[in-house]
Amino acid sequence: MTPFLNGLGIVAATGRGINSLRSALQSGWRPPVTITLPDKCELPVYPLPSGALEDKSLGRKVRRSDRLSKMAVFAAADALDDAQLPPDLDRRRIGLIVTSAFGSHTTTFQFLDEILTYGDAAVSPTVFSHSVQNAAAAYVASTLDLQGPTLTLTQVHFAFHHALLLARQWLATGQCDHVLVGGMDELGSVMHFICRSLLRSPMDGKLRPFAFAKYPAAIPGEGSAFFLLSGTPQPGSYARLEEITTAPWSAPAKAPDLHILEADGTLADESGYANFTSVGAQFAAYAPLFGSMPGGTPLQAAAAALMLKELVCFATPVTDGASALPLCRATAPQPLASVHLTRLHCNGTAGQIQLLAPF
Amino acid sequence: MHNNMNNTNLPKEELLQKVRAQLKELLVSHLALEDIKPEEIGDDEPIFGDQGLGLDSLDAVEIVVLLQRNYGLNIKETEKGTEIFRSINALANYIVENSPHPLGAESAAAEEEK
Amino acid sequence: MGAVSAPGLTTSEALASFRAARREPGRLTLFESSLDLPVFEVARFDAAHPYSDGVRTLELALHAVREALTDAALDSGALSSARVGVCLGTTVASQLNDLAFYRSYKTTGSAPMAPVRRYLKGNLADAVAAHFGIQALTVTVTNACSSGADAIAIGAQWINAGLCDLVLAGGADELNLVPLSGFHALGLGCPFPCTPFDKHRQGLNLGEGAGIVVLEAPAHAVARGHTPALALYGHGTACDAHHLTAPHPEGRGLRAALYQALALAGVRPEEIAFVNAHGTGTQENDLIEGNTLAAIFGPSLPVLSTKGYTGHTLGAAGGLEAVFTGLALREGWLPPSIGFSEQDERIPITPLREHTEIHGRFALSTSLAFGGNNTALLLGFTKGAAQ
Repeated sequence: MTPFLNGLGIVAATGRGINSLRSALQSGWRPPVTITLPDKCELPVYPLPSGALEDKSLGRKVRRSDRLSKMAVFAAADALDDAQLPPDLDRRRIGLIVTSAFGSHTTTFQFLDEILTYGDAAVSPTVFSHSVQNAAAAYVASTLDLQGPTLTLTQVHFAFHHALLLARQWLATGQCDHVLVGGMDELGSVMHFICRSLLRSPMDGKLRPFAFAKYPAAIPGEGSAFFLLSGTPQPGSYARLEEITTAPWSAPAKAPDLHILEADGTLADESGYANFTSVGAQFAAYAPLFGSMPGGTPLQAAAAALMLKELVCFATPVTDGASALPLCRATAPQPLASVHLTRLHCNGTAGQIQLLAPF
Repeated sequence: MHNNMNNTNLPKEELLQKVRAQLKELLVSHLALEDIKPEEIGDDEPIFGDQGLGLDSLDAVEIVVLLQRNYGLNIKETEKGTEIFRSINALANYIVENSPHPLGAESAAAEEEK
Repeated sequence: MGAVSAPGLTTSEALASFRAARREPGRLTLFESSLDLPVFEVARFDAAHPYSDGVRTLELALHAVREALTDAALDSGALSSARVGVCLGTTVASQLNDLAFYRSYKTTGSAPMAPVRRYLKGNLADAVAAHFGIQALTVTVTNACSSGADAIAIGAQWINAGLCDLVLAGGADELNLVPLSGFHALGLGCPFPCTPFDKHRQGLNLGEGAGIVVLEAPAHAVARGHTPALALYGHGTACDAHHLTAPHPEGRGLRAALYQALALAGVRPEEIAFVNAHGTGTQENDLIEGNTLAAIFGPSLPVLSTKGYTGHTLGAAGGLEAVFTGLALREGWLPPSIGFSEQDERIPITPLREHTEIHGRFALSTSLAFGGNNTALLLGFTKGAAQ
């Protein structure tokens, strides 16, 4: 079965919502924000724009939630709204899968701080509750009244791919009519320190996905994107989910109209992406708009979904290193029938998603 | 003899008024009650349940921690959910009756420095 | 099946503890804490292992996996020739929560990256797969207290989807200061050995361990001449969508999960021989779970909580309790629900007070997670074994 992506919600460096995603894709590369760490070192990052999480419409439901949970709630709520499903849905038949590479680290570190400051017998129960890995999913479920199966998967590689596989299964077996699937990851002060220690920043603020570099530079990003998957299409459907794999790479049967390489500087060695350059009529890479995120697939898939719905190919924002490749170099309408996303794992496997135009 | 009941030298009613105001500020800021201003909370309004402020069980355990950190009070398991938590008035009265520093830990520290 | 927890390093040792109705909660020895709460550590477990960098959760998982593979008569050759999945639930091992790391960062502005590299090297399921040298579908489920059960349900779905022939599924968690401190802060920690469903219960004790089942596609089992006695016939999962820390007052999600599991298995409530309940010992959980079970299965349902023996093992709980459910079916008896003595009039079910023979083909294990997810696993004898 090929589920339909019927709704999309996103909160990222590009802002909140589909319109700001489209604008960002049209405008191309923007410089990252430079933050100064406590030790005076600088780190370029792609954070959410300020104000992106200010939304009073959900009111009390998210009052205590931490930043990561808010990202997930807003993106998921937007995806559900966007799908324009009938109001009398059976909430027990809507599933939810939330994925993350690093989980709720800011709240976890905040809890560790409480332990160090107040002692382990006098810590805040609210901070603890929010540090639990499935807190964001709990907020999404209670805010949107989702009573079907709910899961949180936290792993550095391919969490979103596995979520899509499971969502497809839930739809195929009839356990659910719809599944909200998404990913979320956040920055934070300790994460800034970790990134500065482990990653190399580019001098000019540009991620270069087509450099296929060993020891590539990275610019950490954050954000959340959710999709509403259903067994049947809606008038506003974005795409059909044709295939998902997380295995040693095998080329798709037919070269996609657009092949998005998810190179973003999070692998120690990205030279392996060069192996994929024979499969695709055109190539693009949108990490330079979102930043480097091992769990960044949902954001890039959001871009893919938008392109398939609106039948436009957005120019790849940074083309350095790809002189010989057929890139999508200029934003233009295109009758895209298929978009493929590939993200490498350091162990040689690849997470691949194949999306087809919905109709 | 050290007067633990009111070592702020304030008349009781004035002290209670200050404590009520402080409590409201504390609840709004610490429990992220973004949709309400401290002065909008009624003194006798129910704090928990569907009426009034509408706080829940997680807020309750958080308030226990707030009382410990700010007022040096250790609420026993058996005291939770009882009269003390009924309203701002009830909580303020409890603080004034039992806390070594009813105007908060910070003011107590400031007092010590004098 | 494989299990390591406070009652024993193996399923046989756990059964011996259950037969003797013996439990050994103790004082915390694994790390420093000012909290003087009883915990269920896995005593005598040597976590020193060159591969794992001493990550206790991984070592517990590997220990249980090895027992499960032996029990399933699978060696590394069999693993490498099959399509394998590894799906494990955990809480502690999936977080950047190293206190020493954070303390160093907070006090000096810097910290060694070793804990971060450990985290990046691979989540629990990846690490287990890498240890056995298998290319596998790997997923780490972080659904709080139902993670282990959810992982088993996912494994079953992978097999039914034709993605895998074999799945190593379950959960693992080591004892850790973060949940110990956190549950205490929530007022959910019991200052004495826990008493699930008891009238005077005061909360949970934390424990640690790993519970693993090997799920196998029937065709694969037949092809290698293996006839397992037990099967996972059904599973169900549903969310309360109610509150971050409190269960739905009417057990809405648990009810839905139980009915789903029964429907999937094509089993009626009266065919269920017993339920291994989540039974943490908290006021809320036991009240709601007890009432929901009574409403569906009737008040004389044989019920127990093995958390009286193991403590609440968080991510491992669903895996351990699935194993204990399977063991009980296989052995034909249940131990008493240790810690329970006085009936709470508000809870219509009465957990077992003594060693009890069981008759029946099917049983359920329930898990209710923080955040409102509820999962039920329905196990039973395979047709051949039932005869």
